[in-house]
Order: sequence, then structure tokens, then C-alpha cells
Amino acid sequence: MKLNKYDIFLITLFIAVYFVVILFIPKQNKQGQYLKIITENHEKVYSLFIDKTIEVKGIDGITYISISNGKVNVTDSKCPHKICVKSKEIYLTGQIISCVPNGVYLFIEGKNGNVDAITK
Amino acid sequence: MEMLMQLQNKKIVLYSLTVILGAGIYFIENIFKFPVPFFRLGLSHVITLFLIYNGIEFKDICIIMFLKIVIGTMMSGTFLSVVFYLSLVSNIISLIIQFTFYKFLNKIFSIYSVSVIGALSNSFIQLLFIYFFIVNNLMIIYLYRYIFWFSLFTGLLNAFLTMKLASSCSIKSLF
Repeated sequence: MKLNKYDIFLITLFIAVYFVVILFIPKQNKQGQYLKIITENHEKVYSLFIDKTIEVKGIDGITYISISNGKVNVTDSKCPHKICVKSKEIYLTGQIISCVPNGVYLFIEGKNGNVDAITK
Repeated sequence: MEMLMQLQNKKIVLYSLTVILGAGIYFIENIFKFPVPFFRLGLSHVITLFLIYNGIEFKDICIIMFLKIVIGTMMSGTFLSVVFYLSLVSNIISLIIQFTFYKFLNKIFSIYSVSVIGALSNSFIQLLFIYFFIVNNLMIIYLYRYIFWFSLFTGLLNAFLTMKLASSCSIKSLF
């Protein structure tokens, strides 16, 4: 018994359904709306659409964060390895930059982020 | 009475042969792991397909499959672990789908369709299982877009091997 025309039809149908489903599944990562900064002492939310330079006080010193064109970068930080500074810019929901030595954590959130207040 | 005894003996031969073949393939496949994580060829499904193709009863295939998974995972050292439950759940559900499909539509579709349906449903059920019970992250379901193509390939490969096996030996000659 070999692959007959009905089998080929069924397999083609599966592939067609696959492509239809793929088309309708929304992309998981979308452009984020807010930047949430969490440190040891406080938690703040900033809009990604307003360019800004933020200074956040961490455990060892100040971490400088810049928001420009909806993208977030750590420009400088008082930490030994500077991993957060070397990290690529983040802008999609779910992306994070964490500076563990300085205790500063950045999260990008989307529309449904639990936002209490936005600092402008 | 003698007839019944003979049938019983033949069933024991069928059970032991297929169970050890399936478990052996399962074990060997576990030693030579596929280089990409989450991907397995699932060659032990050839035995299940072979049984379905030969018109063995559902109850018998179910027992054979259960024993195959128990012995296969025992040999691989994953008995009663997550892998065991994962295999058990996905295999039994996909067996029900494959068996029903082949029983009612065997005049239209060949074993290739049955195998492809089995492979696709098996991998999908495993991902659902992982999503609900292990990693509650939607990324797991998104993996299906890659696993789909691989399942399609393994489904066709398993059906091809089943046909090779069926052309060289038949269970019907045993009964």
C-alpha cells in the first residue's frame, strides 16, 4: 500500500490549516508601551513614547537609563561587570535588563501591564 | 478447549514479541538522542502502526503499548517520571485517534494518513501536557510551529517503515 491521492489531500489539508492558524496567531512579542523599573526601595513606570534619561539609585550607586524612540538602554551603571550596559536595547514586551549587583531591574510591558501610575 | 489454549499461546507470543520490539526501539532511541531538544523520531510507533494495520483489537494494542512504555522507560531510567506520564497520556490519546480513524476510513486513507495524524496529535498532546502541568508559558505551544514539520516527516517515515515491516512479515500468519 503506497501513499494514495487521499493521503496527499489530507496532508495538504493539514499544511493549509497550519498556515491559516499561523496567520491568525498574534506575534508574541509586540512593541512595548511602558518601562517598569524595580529597585530595592521603589517601583516606577515610565512611558516608552517620551524620550528621557532616568537616574535610578541602586545598591552601589546610580544607574543611568535612557529612553529614546521607544527603546530602552542602560548607558552607565555603578556595577563591576557592566553587563547591563553591554545588554542590547529592549523594546518588546517581556524583554528585561537586570543589573543584579546594583539591584536595578527593567521590564518592558505592553498594553495590559499592571500600571498604577505613569511618570512623565 | 485446545483451540482456545492455542489462541492464548499465540497471543502471548504476539504480546511478548511486539512489547519487547517496541521497548527495545524506545530504549535504543533514548541512547542515541536526536541532536535537537524536544525532537524525537518516535520509531517505536512503527510497532503500534503495524498492529493497527494488521487489525489487532484495540484492547490488545492498548495493553501492548502500556507494557512497551513501562518496560521502555524502566530500561531508560525514566519510569514514573514526567517522561513516563507524558508518553503514556500522549500515546494513549493518539492511539484512540489513530485506531478510530483507521477503523472507519481504512478504505479511503492508507496507513500514511494514520501515521501522520498520530504523529501530529502525539506531539500536540505532549505540548499541551507540558503547558498545563510543567511550564505554564505560551512559548511552549509556539514551539508547535517547528514541531509540526518534524511530526509530518516522522509520521511519513514511520508509515514507510511500517509498510516495509508489513511486506516482510504478517501477524495473520501467526493466527
